[in-house]
Amino acid sequence: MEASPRPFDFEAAFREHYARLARVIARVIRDPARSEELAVEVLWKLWRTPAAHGEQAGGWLYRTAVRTGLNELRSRGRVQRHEQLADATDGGLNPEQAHAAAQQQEQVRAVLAALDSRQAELLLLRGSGLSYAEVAAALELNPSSVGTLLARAQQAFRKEYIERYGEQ
Amino acid sequence: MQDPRTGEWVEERMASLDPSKNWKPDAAQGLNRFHHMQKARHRRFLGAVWAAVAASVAGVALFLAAPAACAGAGCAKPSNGPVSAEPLPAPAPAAIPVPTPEPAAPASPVAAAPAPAPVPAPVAAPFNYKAQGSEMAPITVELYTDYECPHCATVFMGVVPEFVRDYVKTGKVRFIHRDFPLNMHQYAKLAARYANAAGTLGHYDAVVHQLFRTQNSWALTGDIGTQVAQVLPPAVMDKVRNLVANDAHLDDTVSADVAAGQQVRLTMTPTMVVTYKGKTQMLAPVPQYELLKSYLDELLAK
Repeated sequence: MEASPRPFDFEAAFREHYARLARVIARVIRDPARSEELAVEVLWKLWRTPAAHGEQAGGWLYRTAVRTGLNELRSRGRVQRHEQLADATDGGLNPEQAHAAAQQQEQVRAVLAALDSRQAELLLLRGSGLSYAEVAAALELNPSSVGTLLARAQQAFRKEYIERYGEQ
Repeated sequence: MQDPRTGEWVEERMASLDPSKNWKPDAAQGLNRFHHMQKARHRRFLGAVWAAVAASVAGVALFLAAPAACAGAGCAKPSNGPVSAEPLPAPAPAAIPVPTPEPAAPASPVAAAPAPAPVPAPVAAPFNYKAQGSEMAPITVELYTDYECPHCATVFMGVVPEFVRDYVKTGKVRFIHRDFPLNMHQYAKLAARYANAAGTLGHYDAVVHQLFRTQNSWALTGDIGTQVAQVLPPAVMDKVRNLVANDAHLDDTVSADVAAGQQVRLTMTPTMVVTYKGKTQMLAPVPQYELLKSYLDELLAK
């Protein structure tokens, strides 16, 4: 007799992934409060998508989170409406350092918004501390190709960054 | 092959995006927000289901009901234009009984009118330029008109100015003008487009007044632009013409108004829908100002 599949525990998944999802989104859009809102939205989408329930939920969530963040970033354009420096960066910076840090963040975000979506997603997920296997699951890639694709994404990022801001 | 320093260089810049270590997203709070969202969306879903059911019922009722018509005998088909070029006579006072002063049944000033008694609550005005007066006013009056309907012109020219002066500007009544162009009038929809285009540019009242004032002219020829141009600066008129010619969404408010009128089972133009303390009463035909005044005073005194 075949064992029936274990029911998906949504609340457990929520508790497991919420904070990390919010941090992935915050890397893209900077505003922590909005990131938490979007993390809830992403989990809401998971709840509404039974096909994503189960073991693949993690990959699905990070893929959706990073895309949600990038969409938000692109839809905002260059509007600087979430300059919440104190919330987004560690304390202890003097005003000049804080300004430089904020400027660099904006430059990095502008470059990410200009990159091919898949490359931006790769860089953001890897930069958020996901392993190659997790990145592969999130972006539905062959794990053995993640390294190559990541290297290409880094090259594209550097090229775009230098074209815009020079070798800083 | 990639320069090995590229990875390091990129990671260094990507690290600048790291959120503050002091920020710790709280899953319990997030879960709480999720449950709120779940409830809100469930309520919205139920609302949409009920709206769909109500719309279906209203659709069936409308199908069975007689179509709306222009009040009085003054209306003519557009090919003939209005019957008379003279100012139209106001509705005869004898046809509109004064509201009964008894407190139990004050809201029945149109006993002779075929309108049903209490009707569903009206839909909110789609755009502000069609509404005047305080949102906190105890009474809301919606006036449904067709720009080519002679009695609508009579009401708009003869009743509305005093009504606005005494009740709307004093904060007693919120007044919403709604479009209800009838199929029998060839240019009514076009006139509504002109009025709404002017409304989006802040000139609604002037154009509405002009349309009703010059109805006898443009209803014969359809040359609405010439009449409207007389009350607008040339630059604004150019914009109005452009909107009338090209704006695909200009009729959205008309559709919303027609839907609102159908919801209250409007049977003729002009019709006034008076809402007070959640109860709605249709005044069709619209009474002369003195009768309307006594009716509104009585409501306000309750």
